[in-house]
Amino acid sequence: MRNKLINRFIGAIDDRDEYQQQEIYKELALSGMLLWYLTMLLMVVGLIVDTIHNKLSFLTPALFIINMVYAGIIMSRLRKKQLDDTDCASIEEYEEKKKRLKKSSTFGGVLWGLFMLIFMQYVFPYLSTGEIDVSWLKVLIWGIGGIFFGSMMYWFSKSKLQKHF
Amino acid sequence: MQMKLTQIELAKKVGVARQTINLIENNKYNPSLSLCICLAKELKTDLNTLFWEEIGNEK
Repeated sequence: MRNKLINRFIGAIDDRDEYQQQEIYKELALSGMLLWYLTMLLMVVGLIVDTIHNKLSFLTPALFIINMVYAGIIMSRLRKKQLDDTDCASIEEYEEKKKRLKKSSTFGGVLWGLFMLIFMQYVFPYLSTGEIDVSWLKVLIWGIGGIFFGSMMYWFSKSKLQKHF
Repeated sequence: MQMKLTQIELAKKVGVARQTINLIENNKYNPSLSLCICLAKELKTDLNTLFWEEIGNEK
């Protein structure tokens, strides 16, 4: 069924061999990822345009829902097949990987907090009303949001580490 | 080739594309074990002779 679908999608008449299948999977996976990033970008552009016109179009929330559902499905499928697990053979390896995750999660949390602060308090209010809405309370709120996001990221990534010691 | 087989003939016999046989010959693709066995059977040899020995080995 899956092969038939892929053959129809790429326009092949007969079945592909193992090398061709492998390459087709790689190409489709990469193009799927690029398409996801492209639709995310389109969603941000849509949000900016909507903010300028002070209205919410159908496309922006639709793209958001599609992207989130797509990401959720892929994540759950990868999880189900344990394709995103990382094996740790020793306590040292586990600690080292945990340290790396902490670093990347902190970076992710800071980046998310900054991005949200800039867009929600500077960019969107400016595009909508022409005024910038920023206060220490807002900075604190997005800071806490960033910490929460980073913590969730760390907790989720840590759950993929498999202890084998 | 000792068996006077062309790439397309061998490809048809083992059920892959000619391009795949070409890539295997040029060490640009690592075939699966089942394809290795198919190739060895078709070429009437064993896996060692076909894939392991570098000198004096005709694939």
